[in-house]
Amino acid sequence: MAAEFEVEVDVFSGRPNPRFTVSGDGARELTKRLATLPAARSEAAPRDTLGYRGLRVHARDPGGRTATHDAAVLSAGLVVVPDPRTGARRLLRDDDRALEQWLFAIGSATLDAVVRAVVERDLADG
Amino acid sequence: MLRVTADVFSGRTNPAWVIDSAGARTALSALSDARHLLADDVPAGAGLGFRGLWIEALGDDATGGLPGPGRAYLPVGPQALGSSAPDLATRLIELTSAAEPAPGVAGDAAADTSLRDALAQQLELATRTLPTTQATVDDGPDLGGAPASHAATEGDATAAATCFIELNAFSPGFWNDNSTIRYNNNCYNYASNWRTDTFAQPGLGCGSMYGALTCDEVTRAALCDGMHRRYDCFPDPERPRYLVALVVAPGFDFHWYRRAREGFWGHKPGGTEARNVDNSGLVIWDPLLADRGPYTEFCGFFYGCNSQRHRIR
Repeated sequence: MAAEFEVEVDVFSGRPNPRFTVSGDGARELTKRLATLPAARSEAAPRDTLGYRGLRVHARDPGGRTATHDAAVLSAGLVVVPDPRTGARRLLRDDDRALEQWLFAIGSATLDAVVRAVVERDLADG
Repeated sequence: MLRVTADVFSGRTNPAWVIDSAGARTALSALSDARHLLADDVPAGAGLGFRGLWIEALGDDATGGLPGPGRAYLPVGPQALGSSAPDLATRLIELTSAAEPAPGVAGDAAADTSLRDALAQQLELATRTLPTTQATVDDGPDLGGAPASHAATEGDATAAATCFIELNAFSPGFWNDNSTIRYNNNCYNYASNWRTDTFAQPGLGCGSMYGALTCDEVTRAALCDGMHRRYDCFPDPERPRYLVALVVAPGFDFHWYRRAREGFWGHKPGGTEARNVDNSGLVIWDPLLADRGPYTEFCGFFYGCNSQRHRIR
């Protein structure tokens, strides 16, 4: 279980995506919430279009290195996580995008105002 | 009966054969299944060596399978119109082994075994040295985009120039199937068809990265990396020369598209998968008309080239 996460705001096509760190209580809460999400329909899929797509969560190891694979992807009411036993993708529901909104709020103040406005508008649209 | 002429020589008369009725039926059957490989004439840009085969009907009983007035040209090598063109050419050459030299063909160009062997070798060489998924074409008006409406800014070359470009078959698997490649290469990598694993930024390679997210600035940076505006041609040594399009979400981000051989445009939104559909899920036949989400400003068409793609960082 990671003590720290790097959250990537998956919004750009050309520029590198902005990121923020979630650690301490926030990291523990994130881990707990991810573990309690209900399963989603198998035919659902995260967004992959131009514009804001969602939040990608990467675990950081004790040495501060960020894992290259996604610990979770939060996108438009869907959460994709690897199965801890098989590594296969599991699809979970994030009703009302509550987890995505909570997570974004942790780091939004550190982001560029334009990016923040784009994501907040998308989250408000549901 | 059919006459098959090998378009191979520059100074000598090209060799030609007359294929009899039985052979002609076999040839016409093969040709009717491969109309997409045939042209009305020799393609522009055809060079020296074995360029293709002329197939001509010698009677009105042998026109089925041939487009136009009983005559067609099968390009081979860099001008081939499909990956199965070499196979079709080989089958036609094999049919000539039982054929007579065409009347009027000079004796020193008459068909013989060594000539057919030489043609087969040239065909194999022309096919082997070129990626079968790539074609060199004239960037004419039917390749998409409305050149007249985008040659209005000062300094743009116009469509009067004849530029040759390379079109690759759409190959998303290269970008999508390996998670490292998918995640670490962006739209600029895709448009340049060059993997750097650095999420390449226009202008970074030439030492002058874009300073603002505007059409002018990202264009300046891409030109600095070595791109040209459309119709400002690159010479053949700069192959491959790709036709690409730049769009921006002003003050926010940039995005690129690359024209594929199949006629549509491919793109790769950041670290996501390469695809040929827009934000509405529709195939992109023209980036000007595609649903580009927030990338509302169309900056123009450009050519990438070999030097440019090696320079990007």
